[in-house]
Amino acid sequence: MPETIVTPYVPSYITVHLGAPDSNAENVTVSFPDYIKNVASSEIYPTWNEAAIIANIYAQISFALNRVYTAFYPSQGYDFDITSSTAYDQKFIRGRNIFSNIDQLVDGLFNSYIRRVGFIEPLAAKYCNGTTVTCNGLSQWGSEQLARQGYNSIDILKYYYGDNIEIVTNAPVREFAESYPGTPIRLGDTGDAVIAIQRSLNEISNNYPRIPKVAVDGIFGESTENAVKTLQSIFNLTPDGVVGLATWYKIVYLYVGIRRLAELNSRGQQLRGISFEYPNVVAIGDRGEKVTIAQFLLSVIAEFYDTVPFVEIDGIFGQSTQNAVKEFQRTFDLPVTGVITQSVWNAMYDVFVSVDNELTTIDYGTQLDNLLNGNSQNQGNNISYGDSDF
Amino acid sequence: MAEFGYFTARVYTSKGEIPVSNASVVIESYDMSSILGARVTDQDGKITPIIINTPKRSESQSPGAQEAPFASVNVRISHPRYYTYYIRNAQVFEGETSMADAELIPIDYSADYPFKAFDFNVTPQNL
Repeated sequence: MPETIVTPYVPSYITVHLGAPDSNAENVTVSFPDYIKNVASSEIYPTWNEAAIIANIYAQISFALNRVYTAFYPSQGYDFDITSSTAYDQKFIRGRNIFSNIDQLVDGLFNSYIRRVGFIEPLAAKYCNGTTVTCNGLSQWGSEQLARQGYNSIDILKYYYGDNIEIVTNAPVREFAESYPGTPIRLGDTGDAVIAIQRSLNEISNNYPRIPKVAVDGIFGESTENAVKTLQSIFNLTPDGVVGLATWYKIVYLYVGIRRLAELNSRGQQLRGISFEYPNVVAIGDRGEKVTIAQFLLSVIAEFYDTVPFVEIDGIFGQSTQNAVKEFQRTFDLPVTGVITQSVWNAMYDVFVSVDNELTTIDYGTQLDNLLNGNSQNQGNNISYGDSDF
Repeated sequence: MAEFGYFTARVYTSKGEIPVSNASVVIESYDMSSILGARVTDQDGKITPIIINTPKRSESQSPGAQEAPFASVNVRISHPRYYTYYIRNAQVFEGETSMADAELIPIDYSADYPFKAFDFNVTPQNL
């Protein structure tokens, strides 16, 4: 029987355990670009030669994607993708400052990675500082020295990992149906990609009013170009009015994020006719309305607390729902049981109320309202994270 | 000539990155003895950059520096409706811009202790 080849994807979000694997530490779920920006800012200096910074970023991306692709931690029963401990993985400091130049470089590279020629999986790219610690992989200080000698980032990577490596670029990002088309979209272009960009810009501009509204006509004219430039100036992207990979995925992340909030708000309005009173104990194996409500509460909380993971609202209390309950309990200093008792339900509801006010006051605009109210698929049915025009 | 870098911030709430305007961003020295700059976020949740004195850039470009090759500052981001976001020992390098991308969380007034800070400490790179 032919082997099924699973194409590596880049996760749109990654869950990081803030300690050694067996430690009773929190998990945080962050976007994959933000994870890499944090790692790069935590591992190296922004003053280094750009070729060295890029080489290090490729190694960091590849290491993380190898963890995800091989399900290294989930296969051992853990509920996270990677840790923040340098004894096991890469340095990640929750909430830290990041560096502007690293921010821009990662936006353009986050879905590219290293692999061995003839192999599918991302390279488990090892690295170390190369001074106090040596290893069979990239030397961080060595990469800076090579860059100063004129090596480019690929030369640096081949120096440490061998000539039989290649860079995979523009890998698909999971949960985003439409990948970056591969070539920049710019003034004068027409077509479906332009329509998607224009529609998304209009939704984003509801909360970023400096971004002007544009006609959704599929024609990339000056007004669209100006809107793109304004978005780029807000989000630390090169303000050239061209939608390259970095701008494309910034637009996608923002649009999908706003749409997800709108769907939850819509779902909340549907549920307001139902009592939020504690039903009775809710635990793994349960199904039905009480599970749906619990999942809805957790989903809204997850939009605001990075320590609570996303959960699908499907009315089935499975492993992922149990994990979300545990992370909620850990976040709010409750006994970590994975079971929703009265005290847990009350805490979930109280936190939900505190963030729900934000949810109901966000401007989703007419377009998303019409989409959600007119789309029968969203009427009381499951909301899957990532459902979108992208 | 004094060496310096920049610190800026973008403040928002939720994974939808809804901007938070009128949040105060205060940069203080690492020992909290002085305020180095203060701003209020605009409609995009952003501030104009604050200039921070730093060590020389060259200190971070080869191993073996005797002192940290960056300036350490504390960053306090606050707004009446959200929990305070506090970064201790944020790093600023000469000629580079450091950014605080701060996701704020709405205050839960029903909690026993509704007023708390989300407190993050930046440790140096292992270089």
